[in-house]
Amino acid sequence: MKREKIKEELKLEETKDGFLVFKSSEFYHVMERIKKDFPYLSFITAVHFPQEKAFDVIYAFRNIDEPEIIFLKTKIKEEEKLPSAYKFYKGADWMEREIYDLFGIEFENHPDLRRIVLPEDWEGHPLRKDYPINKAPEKYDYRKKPVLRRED
Amino acid sequence: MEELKKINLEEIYYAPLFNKFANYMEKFPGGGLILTTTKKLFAWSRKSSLWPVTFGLACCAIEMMAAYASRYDLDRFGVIARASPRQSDVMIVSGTVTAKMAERVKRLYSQMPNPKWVIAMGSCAIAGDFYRNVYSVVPGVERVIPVDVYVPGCPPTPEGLIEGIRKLQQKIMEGAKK
Repeated sequence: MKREKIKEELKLEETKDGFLVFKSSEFYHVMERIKKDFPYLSFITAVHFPQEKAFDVIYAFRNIDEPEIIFLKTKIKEEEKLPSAYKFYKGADWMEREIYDLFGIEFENHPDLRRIVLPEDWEGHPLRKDYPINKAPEKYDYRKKPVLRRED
Repeated sequence: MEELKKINLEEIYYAPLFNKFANYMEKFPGGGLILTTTKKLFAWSRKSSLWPVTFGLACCAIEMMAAYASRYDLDRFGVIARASPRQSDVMIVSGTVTAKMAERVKRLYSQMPNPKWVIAMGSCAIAGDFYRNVYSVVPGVERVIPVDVYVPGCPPTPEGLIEGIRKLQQKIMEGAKK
């Protein structure tokens, strides 16, 4: 399997759940190697750990020729930035924008890093664990706005 | 031919019209005369061709599409989806309205010519359902635009939506009686 080959070549650790863990400082090196065997980026997602003030960023790649999937994981601090995968996978554009929108993780060398789901003048990043579920900027808080009735 | 003449024209053609909007009706041999107000006549024509703007927000839109399609066939009531708000009379808000979408809903509503009506379809459009307290959700589309008919359900069946449209038609006719 190509997954095992990559694991040996890059000397990656494997967690109990089958994620291959890599260091964010080796990002370009790892992506370049994976692109050769896994040409399709399936999705990117993240998990917030408020006690550690850190994020896990998870990448899933697929092989088109043979049915195979590989999961990679990296840990970064809240204030750290992560390099963008756009250089290797064009599909990373919107996925990284979504991560930036909901988690506030910034990607270096991304061509167009703005919010994609929420309005552009939104404050805060809702999928962080310390974000209250019903907090919204004054402009978008419709709970405080009056109910409209037809006048005629 | 003999059988056709026996059918009571008054019963099948004039009587429903009279019930709907006529103030006075006179029968002539071979025809008839109806007196009414333009207000009632216009209301009758408006309710007979309610054109909704093509506009779906969430899973309720699937039920709305089923109601448009051949099995339920909203065309029977003169309801045809239009691709432009400029040609539409009614807006069916089918699904959860988010804070970002609320501005678009408001804009589409303001682009529709008068007279215009709004149907809030499903519990999300009525009051936000269980997304009510979520940061990005509008708790009921009535906080953005005024609503005429509420169709409850999660999602409502096509029959439910048809009932809502029939209620809106009744409302339009009742508005003309004042």
